[in-house]
Amino acid sequence: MSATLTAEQVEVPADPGELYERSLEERWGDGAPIVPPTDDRVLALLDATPYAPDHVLGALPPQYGVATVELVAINAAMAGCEAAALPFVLAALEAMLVPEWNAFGLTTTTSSVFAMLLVNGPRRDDLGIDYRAGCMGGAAGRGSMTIGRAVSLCLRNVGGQRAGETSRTVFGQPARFGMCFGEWEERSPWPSLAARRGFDTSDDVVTVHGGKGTFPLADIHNDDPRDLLYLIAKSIAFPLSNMFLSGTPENGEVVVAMNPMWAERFGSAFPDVEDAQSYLWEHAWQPLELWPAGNQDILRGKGRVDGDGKVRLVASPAQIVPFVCGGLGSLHAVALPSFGESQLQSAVVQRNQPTR
Amino acid sequence: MMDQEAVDEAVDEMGALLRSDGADLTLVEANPKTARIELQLELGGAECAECVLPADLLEQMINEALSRRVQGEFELVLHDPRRGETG
Amino acid sequence: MTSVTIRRPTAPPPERSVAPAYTLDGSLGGLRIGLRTDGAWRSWVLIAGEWEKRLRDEGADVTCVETNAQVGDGGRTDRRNIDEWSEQIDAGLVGLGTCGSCTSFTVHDAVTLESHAKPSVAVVTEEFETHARNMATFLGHGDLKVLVLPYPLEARPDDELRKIAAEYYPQAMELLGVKR
Repeated sequence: MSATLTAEQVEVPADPGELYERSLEERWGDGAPIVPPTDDRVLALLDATPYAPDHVLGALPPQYGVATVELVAINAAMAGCEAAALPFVLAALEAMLVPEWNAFGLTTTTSSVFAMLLVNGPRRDDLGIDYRAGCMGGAAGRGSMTIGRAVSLCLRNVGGQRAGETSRTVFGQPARFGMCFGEWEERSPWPSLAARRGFDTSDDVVTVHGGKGTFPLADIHNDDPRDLLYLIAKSIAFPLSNMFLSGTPENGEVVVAMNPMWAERFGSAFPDVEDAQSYLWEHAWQPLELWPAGNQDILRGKGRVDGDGKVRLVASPAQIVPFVCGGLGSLHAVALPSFGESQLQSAVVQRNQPTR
Repeated sequence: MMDQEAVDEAVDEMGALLRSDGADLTLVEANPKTARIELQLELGGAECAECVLPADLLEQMINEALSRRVQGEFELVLHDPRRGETG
Repeated sequence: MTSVTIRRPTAPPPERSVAPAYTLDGSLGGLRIGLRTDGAWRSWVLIAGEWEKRLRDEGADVTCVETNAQVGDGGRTDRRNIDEWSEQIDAGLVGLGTCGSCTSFTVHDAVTLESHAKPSVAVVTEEFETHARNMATFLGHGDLKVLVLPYPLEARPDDELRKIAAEYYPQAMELLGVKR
């Protein structure tokens, strides 16, 4: 590629251990070893995107560092991304820069919330984006381990998001190292998340969720789809959910990752995903009496209590988002609770001709 | 990802075992995208259905034969006429 | 090979302008003073209510606005309301910053007021003072006036909150530039 790189050149130790030490001193990394972003590596990554290196994606909060494609490629190289993965990183950042994702709030909040990348499309396997067993950690696909990390490094190095400094996060969460996984579209009884959001199934799409963490759910006793969905609904409506803190229940989505075996049962009972969402919404509430008196007053004051004394988790079924993934061991679902004041955003992966 | 050759080998191994009782095992589909391996138990040549390995044991043995060869998770769907399935 | 050349991964610090910060430099009589509350914090609603009474007693006309959302229809409505409110008033007190994102949005809305050339004070709690000043700097308003209340605040009983309201009202007025 004939691109011209403009970022400052820095001499660093070639020895991996010494480079790691240097990266810690300079605060370039995330605490884990980095791959040196040499010109060869960065240029190879830039070859995979139709964007010019000086193309500006936007200014990343909280410090509003300008995210050029070149800077993103440098951080993607550091994360260990292969060239074909850079367009996925760019798509994720494009989605996060949409105001409705609320990067301004999410990069500074006390909450643990962080960008969780949900991937659809034909290139999941090629890129090593995990969607089967261990997709949220443990499967170790290169795409899953590096694309999310690249986004995280950009937020750190370009946006200046640093816990305890510019970010007030109390706990953080493991996703802050990077979280990227795919949907097992072929095992879903429903259209994929991207298709439901209006995208073409031939496109690779990254949907970014402001998720507070992974909330594991399990049932080893019950195979009935309605019973399982009922229990999932009650579980995601846990009393300390951000959704009950929100001034308005219309914002934010709860992603519910369903294993393929359960999804098949859910699909038999609810061939239309909207019906499954409605069923979940119908049961995703708690009685006002669950909360202590002071909290009850606040919930009443915010207009969150309906005429039957129910406090619903979200305003509409569309805010509970099924996503089929995970292994064939059944028994489990994982909820990705919402920060509340953030809306799922999706972007199509824009790439040059396939590099392989 | 699912290796077709590995699946074929496992099916052949179990098929040979079943043929000694007059039954057979055929591969319907091994789909790497869904991780489903669909097999059909053929009882046509068996003297009686009970002469062939019991259904649960057969499924367990087929699972083991596949697990030894196929990398990663898979879902075995075995169509066994003795369970009221016609495949 | 003992060294290798890489590209620096960090963004250069953006050029920061520091917008002017406005003050009243006069008495309250006849002025329109705004109070912005956030539906999340009952403590601030109570304190703002106490300050509203005092402001009226001193001859100010008070306009209150409450925000509830950061995004979506609610968020867009809130930001529009803040913009319109900024047009209608002479100065305002904007709170409450007592969590990460609510501090960011408190500062954001205070900056909106300043962008209309109206004096504003961002009200935050002690734990979030540094964060508020950082956000003000990042938004180009490094001289934004910030009033710091004790932390934690939210769960304190009403009589304690009233005492805090009384104790910090003079400082709020001083930051606004009220001359008595």
